[in-house]
Amino acid sequence: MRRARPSILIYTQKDSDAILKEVLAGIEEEGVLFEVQKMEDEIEVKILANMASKNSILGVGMGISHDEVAVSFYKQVEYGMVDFGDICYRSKGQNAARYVKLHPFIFE
Amino acid sequence: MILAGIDVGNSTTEVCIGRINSSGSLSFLSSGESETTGTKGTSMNIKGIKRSLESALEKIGLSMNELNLIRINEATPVIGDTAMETITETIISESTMIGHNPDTPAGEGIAVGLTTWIDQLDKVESTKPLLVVVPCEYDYEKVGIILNTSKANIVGVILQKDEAVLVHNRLIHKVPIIDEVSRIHELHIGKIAAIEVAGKGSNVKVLSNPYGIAKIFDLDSEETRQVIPIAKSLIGKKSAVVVRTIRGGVKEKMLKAGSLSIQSEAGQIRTINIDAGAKAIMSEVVASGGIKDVEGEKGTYIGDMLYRMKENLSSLSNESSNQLHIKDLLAIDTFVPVKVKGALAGEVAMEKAVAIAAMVKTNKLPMKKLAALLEHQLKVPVMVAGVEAVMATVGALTTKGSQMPLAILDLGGGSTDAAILTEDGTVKSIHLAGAGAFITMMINEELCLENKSIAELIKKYPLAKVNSLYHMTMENGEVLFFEKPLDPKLFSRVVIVKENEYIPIMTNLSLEQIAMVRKEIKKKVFVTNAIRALNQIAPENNLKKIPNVVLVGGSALDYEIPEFILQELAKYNIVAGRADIRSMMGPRNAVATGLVMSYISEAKI
Repeated sequence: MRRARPSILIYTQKDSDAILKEVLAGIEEEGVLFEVQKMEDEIEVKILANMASKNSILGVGMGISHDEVAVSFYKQVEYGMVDFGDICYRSKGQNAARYVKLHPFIFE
Repeated sequence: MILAGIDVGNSTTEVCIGRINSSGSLSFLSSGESETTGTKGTSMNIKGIKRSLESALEKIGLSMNELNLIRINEATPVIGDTAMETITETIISESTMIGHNPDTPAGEGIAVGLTTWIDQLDKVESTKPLLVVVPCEYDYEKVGIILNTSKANIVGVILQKDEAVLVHNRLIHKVPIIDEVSRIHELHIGKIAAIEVAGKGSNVKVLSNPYGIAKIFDLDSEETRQVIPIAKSLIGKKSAVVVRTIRGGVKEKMLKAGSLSIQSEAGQIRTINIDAGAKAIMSEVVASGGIKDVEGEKGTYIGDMLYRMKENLSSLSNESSNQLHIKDLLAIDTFVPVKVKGALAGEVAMEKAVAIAAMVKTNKLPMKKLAALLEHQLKVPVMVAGVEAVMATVGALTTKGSQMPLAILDLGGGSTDAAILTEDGTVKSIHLAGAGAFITMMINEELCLENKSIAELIKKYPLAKVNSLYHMTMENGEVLFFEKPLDPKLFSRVVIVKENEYIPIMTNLSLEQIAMVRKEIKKKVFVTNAIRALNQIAPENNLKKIPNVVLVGGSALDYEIPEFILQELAKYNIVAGRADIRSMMGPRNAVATGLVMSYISEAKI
């Protein structure tokens, strides 16, 4: 299903609320729209991100599971191929948004 | 016989290998080049010479002992150095100003109020307008709750963290918010302050205008004059804070730049103040005819600068610094971004600066000693032969379409040299300060890179802007596509395109700004020097009397410097172009080729 709003889609699993909050803060600070969907089944984080990005009108999706966060840019890079290194959750959210804004990524 | 010509330059050592058959005709076999090791004319050079020779010999399958003779140039005993010094300095003595470009400020407009810590809000009883100052211990949700429930009259917020948008989204009554103020604890509290966040797509308007600040703080005309440096440094910013303190403020300090004394060959001394600017300095250099030495006024910036240069050159040349004389000088005015002293959020101000390249003539370089050492090590006879400028013109004449009288412009790393060879065989030559290394230094300073190797790459290679993980636009508009995604570190950056390598430049400057700085510096150094040099060697000092100019040397390989020079020389009706030594070497190897060629004419004599 395609979303009408140009937003970053985030597929998350329960028990990840603290991480989700940080990721969303990163996207919000960059001023990009987002939508969150809670998933019931246990799905690998990279697959979550990939699914989300395919359904996002911007082609940008994120997956959150337990303490893992993945970013996927559909049409551009298969999940797992953009390596931001060891950065905090908020920076991952910011980078997803910065991709949309065409701004350089954060690596610290 | 097989012979090698070796040219030890300031930055490159070049080799040309030729064979003379029994009938006396010459054929060229090979050539090689490598980086010069150590200062030219010293025994340190041997390493580079060997490397360069070996690479040339390897190409044709010869070994060192098959060489019959090595001819090495009588290198010109000149060495150059460069320096740059700012002559103004902005100091914030009482922390009165913050102006920066955070990626994401929030809100819009201007707000004036008393600065107040967020934990003191509930203690404020009056209804005075307040600017709330929030240190990093408070996160955006907490700030939102405190500000929404407070009864105080809040007109603006200053945050230490990067959370302006987050806080703004949670406020019921929207106010302008500035974030990323790293040294927030140095902000004056309980003082009247103004914050301004620019509207979409524009820059601050009120706080970058002296009268705007005057209106807010009710300043008289004298006080308004004092805030000019504040307003000036806020121009072009997306957000700004100005705090009124009783004493102090932002000062633009004029440092004592000092004066230069140029002593001419004729014994005249001309003194010129650095403040007069590069143009005035250079016209004094020209007016002096020939320079004997240059001194800087003691205890001033220029004095220190020239003193350090001479010390540096003396350690390179092993001559005492008071025996060294500056024979030429190239001064260029610039503006460089410098971190403001005492700034709260890493602000930079554009400061006036002067860049100087100087050329020092040393006693004759000990080439004979070097030759003897080389002979001993390689077991091949080594001969010091010919003046560099003569050899270069002889080599340059192998360029198709050139004719005498021929002028060469040798655009090197350490100096710009010129020589003219006339039909009667006389050669006139000159060495000027300022060349490739000077350009690298200026690019490094003007772009605030703090990285000489990046500056060197910016000088040598074109730029591109990365548009996505799969494509980038080069500065000439060409678009490059990639099958595999690029390194995410390159995303949306300006990169240097070095053949198949892409090096990101970590700066907020746009591709256009970087390219413009690079081009301007190249013109300021080499176009200025080309005209200066040719004027001095031209018959009757008249540029128009030179019909042909051939460009040689490492910087003639540059992808845009030759074009800048050609455009300028075309105005004087001079045929000018990049040399093509032996129709295959391009602008390289002129001196080494000349050394091999001149052996025949010398043998005949």
